[in-house]
Formats: sequence, C-alpha cells, structure tokens
Amino acid sequence: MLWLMVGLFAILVALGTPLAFAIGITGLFALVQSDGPSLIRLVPMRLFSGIDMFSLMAMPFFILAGDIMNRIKITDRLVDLANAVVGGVRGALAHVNVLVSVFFAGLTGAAVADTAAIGRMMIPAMASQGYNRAFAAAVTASSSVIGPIIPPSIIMVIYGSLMQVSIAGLFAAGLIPGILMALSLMGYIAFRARRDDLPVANLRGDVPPLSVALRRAIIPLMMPVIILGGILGGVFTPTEAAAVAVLYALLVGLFLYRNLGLRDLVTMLYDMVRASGSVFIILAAASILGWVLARQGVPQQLADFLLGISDDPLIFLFIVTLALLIIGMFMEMTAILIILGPILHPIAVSLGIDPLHFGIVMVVNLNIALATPPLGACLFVASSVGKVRFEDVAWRILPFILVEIAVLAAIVYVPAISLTLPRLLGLG
Amino acid sequence: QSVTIVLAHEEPADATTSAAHMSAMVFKDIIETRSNGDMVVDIQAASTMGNQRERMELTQADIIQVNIAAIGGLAQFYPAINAIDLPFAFPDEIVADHVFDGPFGDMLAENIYATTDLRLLAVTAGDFYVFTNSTREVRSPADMDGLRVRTMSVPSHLAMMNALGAAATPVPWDELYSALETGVVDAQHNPIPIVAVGNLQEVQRYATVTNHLYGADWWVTSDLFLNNLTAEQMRIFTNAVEAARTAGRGAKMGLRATQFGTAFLEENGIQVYAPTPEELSQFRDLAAPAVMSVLADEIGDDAVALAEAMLDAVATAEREIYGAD
Amino acid sequence: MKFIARLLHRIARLVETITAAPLIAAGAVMVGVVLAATFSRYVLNDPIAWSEELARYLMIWIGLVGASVTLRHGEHIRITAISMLLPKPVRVVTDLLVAVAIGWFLWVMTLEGWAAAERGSRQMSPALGVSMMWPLLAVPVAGALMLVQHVIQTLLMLLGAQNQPEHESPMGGGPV
Ligand code: NA
Ligand code: NA
Repeated sequence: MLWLMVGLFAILVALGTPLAFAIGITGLFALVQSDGPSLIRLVPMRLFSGIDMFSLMAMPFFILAGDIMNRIKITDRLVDLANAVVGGVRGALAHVNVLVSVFFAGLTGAAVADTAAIGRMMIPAMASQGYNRAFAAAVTASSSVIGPIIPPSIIMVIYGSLMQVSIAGLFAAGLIPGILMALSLMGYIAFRARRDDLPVANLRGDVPPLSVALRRAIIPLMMPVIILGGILGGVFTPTEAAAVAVLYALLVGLFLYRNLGLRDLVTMLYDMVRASGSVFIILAAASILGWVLARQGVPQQLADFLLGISDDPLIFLFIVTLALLIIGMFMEMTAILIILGPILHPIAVSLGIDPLHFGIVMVVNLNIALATPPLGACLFVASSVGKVRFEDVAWRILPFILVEIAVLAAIVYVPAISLTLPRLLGLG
Repeated sequence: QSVTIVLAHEEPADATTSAAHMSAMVFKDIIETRSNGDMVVDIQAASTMGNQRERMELTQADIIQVNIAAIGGLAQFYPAINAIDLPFAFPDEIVADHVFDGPFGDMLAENIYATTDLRLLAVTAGDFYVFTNSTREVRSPADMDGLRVRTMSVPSHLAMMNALGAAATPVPWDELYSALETGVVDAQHNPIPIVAVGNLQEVQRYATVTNHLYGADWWVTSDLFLNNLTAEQMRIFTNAVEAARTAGRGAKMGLRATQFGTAFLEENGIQVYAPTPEELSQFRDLAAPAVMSVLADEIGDDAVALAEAMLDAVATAEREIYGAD
Repeated sequence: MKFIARLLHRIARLVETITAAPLIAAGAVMVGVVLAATFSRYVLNDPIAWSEELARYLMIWIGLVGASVTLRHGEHIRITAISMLLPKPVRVVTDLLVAVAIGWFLWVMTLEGWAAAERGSRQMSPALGVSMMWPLLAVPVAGALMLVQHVIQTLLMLLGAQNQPEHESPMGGGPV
C-alpha cells in the first residue's frame, strides 16, 4: 500500500498536478482503499483540523506586512543602505545583493518572495553594470535563502507550531546561522571578484554617505527590532508580532510616507488571500496524508529504519540533511515539514539533539534545497525575473550551493552556532 | 469472528509517564489474552487518530472503538458537562471516584448517550489542578490580583480566574511555554503531569496546590461497536474496561507518588504552597458562584441541574466514606 | 470557440469576485481582532476571551476558500518541467486524467464537507459558543468553489485558452 501511494504521488507530481491536489488525491485514494469502515469522512475533518492552529496565522500576516513594505517603498532605503555599507569594492553590486537579502530578512519570511522582489531590482541593475546575467540571477537565488533563516520566518512559525518548539527560540537560533550564511556568500563573491575582475561600480553611481543612508533606513530597520523586542519582552506572542508588523507598516505608509491608500490596502489583502490559498490548502491536504501514514505506522517504521542505521546523532543528522536536500529539490517545503517533521523531530530529540538545533538544521536545509538545481523554486523565479535561461542559472549557482552546504555542515556539526543566542536570551 | 478495537488517546505511548497509556495497556492485555487472539486492540496514542473533537466524531462513526476523551472534547458535543468543572466540587479523588461510579455517574452516562450517541464506559485517572505562576507566592485570592493567567478558551475557566481577581487569558497550548517564558502571561493552571509534558516547570517559580478542578480520562464507545459483540466478547470487554478503570486510577496515584507530585515541582526549583482550609474557602467562595452563573447564563438549566446533582452526590459520598458530617 | 472561452473567463472572474470580496473583509477583521486582543491584554490588562477562536476560524475560511481564488489564477504550486517533456497528444490525455482526479478530490471535499458541517451543527465551539457548523462550512464551500473554477479551467485548457499565472505568490506559487 505504501509503495502504491508513493507511486501514485510521484506520477501525479510528474504529470504537473498541483502539489496540494497530488497530496490530497493520494491521501483520499489511501482512505478509500483501506478495509474496514469507510474512512472517507476523514477528508473534511483533516482538511479543517490540519490548519486549525492559531500560530499559522503568522504566515498571512507576514505576507501582508512584506507586501505593504514593498508598496510604500520602504525597501528602497534598504538597498541604499546596502550600497553605502559596501561602498566601491570590487563586485560591489553582488555584495549589495547579498546584503539587501540580509536587511530584507528582517521584514519578510519567504525565500521565493525575496528572490522575486530583489531579483526584479538587482538583476537588471547588475547586468547594466556588466555582470553576467546568469551570475546575477545565481547570486540572487542563493542569497535569498537567507531571508527565512534570519527572523522573522514563516517556515519557522510552521515548524514551531507543528513540532511544539518555542517559535521565539527558533527565531533567536536563526540569527547567527543567517549572518554566517551571508558572510560566507560574500566571502566567496570577494574571491570571485578578484578572479573574474567583477565591476567596481555601484548602483546609482554615487553612494550616499553611510550616516545618511543609515538615518533614512532607520524606519525599516526598526521593524525587526520591534518584532523581536516585543516577543522577548513579553508584549506579544510571535503570532501577534506578525500582526504588529502589519500595523507598523500600515502606520508608516499611512501617516509617515503617506503613499498608501485604501485601494492599495484592498489589493494587498487580496494578494494575501491568494497567497494563503496556495499554502493552506497544501497544509490541509498534507494532514490527510499524514493521518494515513500515521495509521499505517509509517513514522515508527521510518524511525526504526533510521535508528537501525545508527543511533549516533551526527550520523542521523548527516542522513537527514542529505535526504532533505534531495527531497527538497522536488517537493514544497511546507509539505515536507508537515509530513516528515513529526517523524524526524521526535527521533532527533530522543537522540539528544536540541530541538532548536534540529529545527534550524531543517529550516536551513530546506531553504538551500529551494535554490538547488534541478528543481529549486528560487532558481525558476530568478531565471524568470532575470530573463535568463534556466540552465545557465542552474549551472552558475552550483558553487554558491556548495558554499551553502558547507555552512549547513558547520551548523550541523557545531550546535553552538544555533544555540548560543537563544541560551543567552534564556529561550531554551 | 475476530474483532479489532482501535483505542485512541492523546498522551505519549509511554506507560511509565502516562496513566492513560498504562490503562490502555491493561485493557489491551486483558482483551487479547482472555479472548485468545479473537479480539485485538490497536492502541493509537499521541493523537494520531486526531484531536479531541475529531476523535469524538470518529468514535460516533465506529472508526475508533474506544476513545479516551477529556472534558473539553466532550463539552463540544454535550455542553452541560462543563458542570463537572465547578471549582472545588471534589474534596479528594476517592470521593470523586465514588461519585462517578455511583448513581450520579449513571445519570451522567444517560445524558451523554442522549445527546451524543456515545456510551460512557468509565471515568478514570483523575487528577487535580495546581495553580502556578512566575511572579509571587499565591496563598489566597488577594495574591492573584492582576496576574495574567493562561486558561483554555473555556468560559467557566475564564470566569473562575477573573472572579479570583486575575486576568484570565486564553493562550493556545502550542504557544504556552514561550508565552510564560517571555511574560506574555504570568500564570497557568493544570495537573502536574501536564505541567511536566509542557516543561512549564522551567518557566514558573511558584505553585499553589489549590486542587480546584478535577481532570479525568473519560472512556467512551458507541452502540455500533457494542452491538456487534457476542455475549462472550461483551463479557471480556466489560472485564477489560473495569480493569482499565482500576488501573488508570492506580497508575495516576503511583505517578503522583513517584514522578509527578509536588516533589517534582520542588525538585525543579518551584516554591510550593498548600493553602490552609480558610484560604481554600476564600478561593471557593469567589470561584464557585462565578462558574455557577456561567453555567446558568451561557449553557443552560441542564448544566445547573447537573452541577447541583453533583454537589449532592459529593455530599452523599463523603458521608458514606468518612461517616457523619 | 473564442466566444465560449471569453464567456468562461468572464464567469470565472465573476465567481472569483464574489468569493474574494468577503475574504478580503475577513482578512481585515482577522488582523484587527488580533491587534485588538494584543492591545486589550497588554495595555488594558483585560484579555479578550473569544478573539483567538474568531481569528482562527476566519483564517481557516481565508485559507481554504482562498484556494479557489488561487486556482482561478493557476497559482497552485506544481512542477511542470517533467510533463513538458511529453509529446503534445499524450499530454492532453494526461492533463485530462489529472483534471478528473482533481475533480474527484474536490467532489469528495464538497459532499463529505457538507456532511461534516451538518454533524457540526450539533457541536459547540468552546470559546464563542457558536455552532461548529459555521467554521466547518469552510470545507464544502471551498470545495464547491474550487470545483467550479476547476471545471472552467479544464474547459479552457481543452479550448487552449487558459490563463497564464500573473505573478509568483509569496510562498512560491505558480508552475515552476
Ligand atoms: Na526573515
Ligand atoms: Na539577494
């Protein structure tokens, strides 16, 4: 039965069935096939209960907040700041691309959205300064994975809700790995800059002085401070923080920049509905499949299999990392989290791996998979907004992916990278 | 013919820390050994069959044969059962067990059957709630003033905490640890094993042994299942249920004495206070009337009648067990 | 043929508008309720008891019914790279098979969802104290609206007049 399900799912996905339906149809098929009383009534029950979690609300909220930020052009000031920080070094715009991802990371929480927003802006700019377009797209796609690693992060919210791990703790644990990722990518870019003689020129010719750029960027930079400060200070929960982020962006747009109207609000709420629709239906459908798999004892079998290989936490992490890199190239990451997370997380904890550490490993891992050829979603978006052949981006991104895998290995091997900050803040 | 019984509960599949799982194991052992393999029990722990509401529905549909429910799950189908959460109704678990095993329990079972089509098999593994917080030692209601107390989104729980002077705050379970940790809320109430499941002892400093609520495991099944049993299978089933009821109660007491009693809280650096009878009556005088009026206003006369019948049954049980008042 | 395609597009857009308007309002209420609850608890020290449940049920409506809006725009996340390798006539057949399978799922979602909502009318939500039918109704309503959009999109596909997705959704929607 299990192999029948795997086969059906693989065929459906290969034939281009939207993932939510491929998952749902496979689950429904398994329910209809099972003997005993009819289980078909589980379909609506699971569709409902699978998303009946308050903390999932952070997802539409962060999507909305990010959308408002873009619309009121708060994000332009972050690009200026990145320019000012990097100055006129060789390969400046490539460095700016990475730095903007770091600054954006404090506002948004999804890598594909970062790729689209930053790529639209940076890839043409880099190309006009003489960068290879595919290289520019590769920098964009690879650095966009920083977005969900540095808090706030939609995928961490989902992880924390599903696995009952402190979301505030995950946010704190992601900060240093995210910065490490950015520094490693910039280190590699510096190496390439010298070897390939990348352009020195900046975005708009003249760089604003750092102090000016910093002052102008204070308002967007305050947002992550308010979000994290409010969570750690006990003012609001991580879910409520997402709503506060919306409020902050709204207040800035309505009263400070005054470039936001009621019409824009309706449009952005509409975009939020559309985006929620594409993610929640996957979570809902995956909970049908999750029920079926649990009923068949698959989690236990997989756990026994993994523990049968070795009960060394490092070897376990190595196997999981490798498997997720491969699966993550083919499957949507929320779906992976909801199906595999509840299986892998308890094993990790039973092996003595810190829940926050394991959470960060999974989040970093799945995000790298988003930019990994042949099927990473960020690659497709980067190639489409950068107007460059997909195969070229896929080829150019390989060294960047290797750098990111090296960072992942460091995060796996050195738990302190993830755990120092949450421990300092008393978050586990 | 052979029978498979799916028994669902929400606690971890670990009989050394969960009384529900221990009682489920006893049930399984008796069914399978006595029936000589004719009947099989498939224990589905850790909510794998679904959440409280889903498991009730699946039991009604005979997809789950035996479900271990909590009051919160039952209340969505039979709201009057909120009457059981009348604070300080039960002086100790011996009296509580006596009440649920006696005529009051029978009446309750009939009411549940009339509204939900589910048969109440047993009320077992009961445990009292303690109150914990991170701010100050709470000896009497005066000390609760202004504390933000997390409760479930249940009107009677909210009313009780508000009546005691606290600010009742609904927080979902999956956000509770971090809400206590960062100070979004100061306090919560739960039985000690639940405190341990959520690691809440790490983020709380004071505990008050108020024993204000009595949370138990409610075993339910359906006629769809029972009607298919042969007389011999029925006999084995009844035997196993009775044994599981006894085992659940014993397991809970054993866990309290060895792992999840007040000693567990103290070992984790929590200062534990047991209120005097006078202080307890201060709590009761504020909390009980508040919950009574929620029952009357928001649920209805059947809930009030149930609460009054329960108080009578408690008084009777106390007389029977401990002699004249 | 062109006329039929235009008509179908128009129907799809009308259904979407009727669907999206209340969802947009629900989204605004959801944000407002969570903010009000935060304010009331932290500033007034007077927590609201029902806010969490109301916001959660609105989210479920937005998430499930919103999927029908996503469907009309062809933004559901999927992988088309492999099926593109198939020869055109084969792809028409496989696309139809996939469409039938999706239709089956949505049909079950609608019918069983309705039955579940009916059962829910005898259940009560813990905090708001309303019939569980109202939150549970999100499933059959979403199923029916998705079915409508799915049938229209399938007909448009057969006519070769399907919409191209307009932009990527923030979580990576659209064919990749
Ligand atoms: Na982020
Ligand atoms: Na970037």
